[in-house]
Amino acid sequence: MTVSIDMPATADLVAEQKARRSIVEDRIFFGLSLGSAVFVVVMLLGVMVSLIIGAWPALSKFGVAFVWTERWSPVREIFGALTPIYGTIVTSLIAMVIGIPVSFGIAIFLTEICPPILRRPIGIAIELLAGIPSIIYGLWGFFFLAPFLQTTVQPFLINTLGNIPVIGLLFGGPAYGIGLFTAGIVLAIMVLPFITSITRDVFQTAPPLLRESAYGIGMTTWEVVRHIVIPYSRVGLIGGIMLGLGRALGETMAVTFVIGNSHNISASLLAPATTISASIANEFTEATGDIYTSSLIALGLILFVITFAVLAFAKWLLMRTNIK
Amino acid sequence: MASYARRQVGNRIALGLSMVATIVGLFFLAAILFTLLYKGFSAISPRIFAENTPPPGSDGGLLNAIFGSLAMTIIAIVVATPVGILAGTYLVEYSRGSRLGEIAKFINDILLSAPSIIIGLFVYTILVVPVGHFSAWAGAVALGLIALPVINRTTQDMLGLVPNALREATAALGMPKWKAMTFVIYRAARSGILTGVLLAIARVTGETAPLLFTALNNQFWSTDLGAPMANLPVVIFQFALSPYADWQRLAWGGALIITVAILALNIVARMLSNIGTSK
Amino acid sequence: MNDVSVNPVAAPAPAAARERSKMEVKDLRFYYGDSLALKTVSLKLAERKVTAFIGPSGCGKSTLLRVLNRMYDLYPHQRAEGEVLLDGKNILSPAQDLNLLRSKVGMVFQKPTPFPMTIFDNIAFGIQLFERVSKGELSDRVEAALTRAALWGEVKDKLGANGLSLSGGQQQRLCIARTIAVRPEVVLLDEPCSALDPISTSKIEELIDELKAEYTIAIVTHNMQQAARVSDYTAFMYLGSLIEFDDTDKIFTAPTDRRTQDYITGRFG
Repeated sequence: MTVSIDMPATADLVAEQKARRSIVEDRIFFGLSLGSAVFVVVMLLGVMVSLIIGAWPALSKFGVAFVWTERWSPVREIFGALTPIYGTIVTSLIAMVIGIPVSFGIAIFLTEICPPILRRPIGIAIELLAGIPSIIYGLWGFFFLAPFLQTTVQPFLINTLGNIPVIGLLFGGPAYGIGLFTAGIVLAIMVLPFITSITRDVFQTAPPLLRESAYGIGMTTWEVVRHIVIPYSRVGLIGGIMLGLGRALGETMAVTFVIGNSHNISASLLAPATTISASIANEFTEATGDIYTSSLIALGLILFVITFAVLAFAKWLLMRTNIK
Repeated sequence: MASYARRQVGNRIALGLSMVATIVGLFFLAAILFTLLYKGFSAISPRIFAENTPPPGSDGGLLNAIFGSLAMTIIAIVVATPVGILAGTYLVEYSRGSRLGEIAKFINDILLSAPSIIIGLFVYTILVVPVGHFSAWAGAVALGLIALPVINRTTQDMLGLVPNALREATAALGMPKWKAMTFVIYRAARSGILTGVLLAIARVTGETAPLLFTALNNQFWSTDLGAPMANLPVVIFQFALSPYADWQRLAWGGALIITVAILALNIVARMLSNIGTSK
Repeated sequence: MNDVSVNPVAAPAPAAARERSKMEVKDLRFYYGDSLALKTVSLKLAERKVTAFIGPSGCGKSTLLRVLNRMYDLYPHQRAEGEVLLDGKNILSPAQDLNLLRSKVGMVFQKPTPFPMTIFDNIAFGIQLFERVSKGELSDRVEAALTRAALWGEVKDKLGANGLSLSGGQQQRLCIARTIAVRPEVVLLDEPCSALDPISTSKIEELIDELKAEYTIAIVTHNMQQAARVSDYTAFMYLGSLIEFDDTDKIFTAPTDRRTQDYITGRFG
C-alpha cells in the first residue's frame, strides 16, 4: 500500500489510505472471529469422528450386541457395555430421584419464603457446590459418606426395606458402603446447584401479575407454586432437569471413587457396579491390547451419544422459555 | 372451614419441606468443606510446597504436581482465551441470527456441560497416539478445550450487555470494526470478560478426567512439556486410593489447595462483576 | 406500495433553492424488512445551515437522518432505495466506503455515549482514525474541539479522568466535541437534548448556532420550540412522507399544509 512520495499527501489521500487499510484489517479480524466460532463446531465433529474411529475395532468385532452384552473379560478379550450402561443409567436415576425434589425445594425456598437478606448468601452457598471439583466429591464420598452409609444407613435399609417382597431385591445383599446407591447420592448433591439455579431462573419468568392474581383469590403460597408457577414454567423446569441429568451421566471422578468398579449387574442398589466414565477412568491407562482400548473408546462413544442427546434436548427446551 | 385449615396445613408442610431441603443442601456443603479442612489442614506445611511427590510409604510434598497444574493451566488459558473471546465476538457482533451462528452457539453450550472424559479421549487420539507418549502439551490442550466453551459463553453474555448505542457511536465516527471492538466494546465489557476467564480457570483447576490420559502423571520434578507431567488432580486420585497413610494425607492436602484456589478465584470473579455492574 | 394520496414535495422551498445544497435526497424509499417506512422523500440540505426535522413519533424523521450516514447499514434487514448525494456523489452506492463517509458526516445520538476511556482519548481516538497527527497537534485539536463544545473550562484539569465520570450534559457535549474534532462536513443530531436538563439543553442550542458557521447541520427534534429556535429550514414529516419543507419562519407562522398546521398547534402529538 505505497503512495508516491512525490505528491504532497493531502488530508484526503491520508484518509483514503487509512480507510483502505482498515478494510483489510477488518477482514482479518472477521476471519479470525469466524474461524474461532467455527473451531468450536469443528471440535465437536472432531470428537465424534475420533471416537468412532477409535471404537471401530471393537464395534466391528462385537457388532451391535456390544450394547447389551454383560460380559467384560480383558483376559478373553470379550467386552460388553451392558454393565457400564446399566450403572450409568441407574446412578443418574437415583441422582434425579433424590436431586429433583431437593433442588425444587431449595428453589421454592429461595424464591418464596427466604428473607431477602439471606437470599444472596444462601444462593451463593448453593452455587459453591457447583464450583467444588468432582474429585473432592469423590474423596469425601469415599472417605466419609461410604463408611457412614455402610455402618448406619445401609444396614437399616437392608433390615427394613430389604424384607419387603419385590422392593427388597433392590436393597438386598451385604452393606458394601460403596456402590450404585452411594454413587447416586453423591451425584445428587453434585447436580443440586445446576437444577436449583435453572429452576430459580425459570420461576422468575412467571409474571408477577400472575402470582398476584393467584394470591388475590386467596391461594396459599404452596398452592401458587404448585398450580400457577410450576405449570407456567414447566418447559423450562424439564430443561433444567435434563441439564442436571446430562451432567450426572457424564460425571467421572466423583463416581469412580464410590462406585466399586465391578463389572457385574446385580439387582441390589447397594451392590458395587461401574459406570461408563468410571470404567474408562479406571481401566484406560492399563488397557492392554487394541480390542480392550477400543472397547473403552466405544464406551466413550456411547456416553457421548447419550449425553449429547440429553443436553441437546435440554438446550432446546430451555430455548423455548424466555429466561434472561 | 375444615378444608381451609387443611390447605393451611398442606401449605405449611410444603414450605417446611422446602426449608428442610435448603438445610440439607447447605449441610452437605458444610460437611464437604469441613471434611476438606479437617483432613487437609494437617497436610499443609511448608514441606508440601518445597518437596516433590514421594515414593510410596514416605513423606514429601506436592511441588512437582503444583508446578505441573500451574504450567498446564496457564498454557491452556493463554490459548483458550483469545480463541474463546473471538468466537464469542463472532457470535454476537457478526452473526446476527444466522444459521451458522445459531448452530455454533448451540454446540458451544452443549460442550459446556459435556463429560470432560470424552475430551480426554479425544486429545488422547490426536495428540498422544500419533506422538507415542503422554505429554504436558496434551494435558494443556485438553484443559484448553474445556476452558474454551466457558470463555466463549461468558464473552457472548457480556458483549450482549453492551448497549447498541455505543456500537453506533463508534460507527458514526467511521471507526473500523476491529478498532471499535478492541478499544471500545471490549473495554466496556472488560470486567465481565475477565470474570469469564477467571471462572474458566476455576473450572479447569479441578478437572481430573481429561488429564488421566493426556498428561498422565510424573513422580519426579519435570519441566519437560513433551513428557508426562505431574499434576494435582491425578496425584490426588492416585494417592487417595492407595493404602499408604502418607500418600493419603498428601492427597487431602492437595485437595485443600485446589479447593482454596477455586474458591479464591470465584470470590475474585464475583467481586469483579460487582465492580462492573455497580458503575 | 407508494402512497399516492400524499403529494410529495417535489422541489425544496424557494429560499432554500438559492443556497448551495450540501446533501440532496432524491426519491428515497426506506424499508424495515418488507414494510415501507419512508415513502419517496426528496429534499435538499443547504450548506452551512441548520435543517430541522419535526413530526410525531414514528413519522420517519430519525429513519431519514440515519440514512444520511448510512447508519442503517449495521442492520441486515434495513435497506434504502433511491439516491442520497453528498457534494454530488451518491452515498447509497455499494462502492461507497462507509467509514470514510462517516468521517465526513458525523452523528450525535439521543443518549450520550462516551467511550470507556479518558476524556482526552475520547476525542483523540477519532482524530487519529483518518489523520496522521503529531502529539503536539493532537492536544491542540483536542483542546479546540472541547472549547468549541463549550466543555474545555470544565474538564481542562481532568483530561485523564474517565469520560463516564462526567454529568449527563457534559457527556453529551463530550460526544459533540468528539464528533466535530474529526472535522466533518455535515453533523447529524438525533434528538441530542432529549435526555438532558434545560440548562444543558440551552447550552447545546447555543452551540448549534455557533457550529453552523462551519458545518451543515441536520437536527431531529420532537421539541418544536427548539426547532423554531435553532433552525433555518424545517421539514415536517408524517407517516413516512415529507409533508412540508420551507423556511423555519414560514413553517411556524404560516404553514401551507393543514397537517403541518395541526401538528404545530398541538392538535396531535
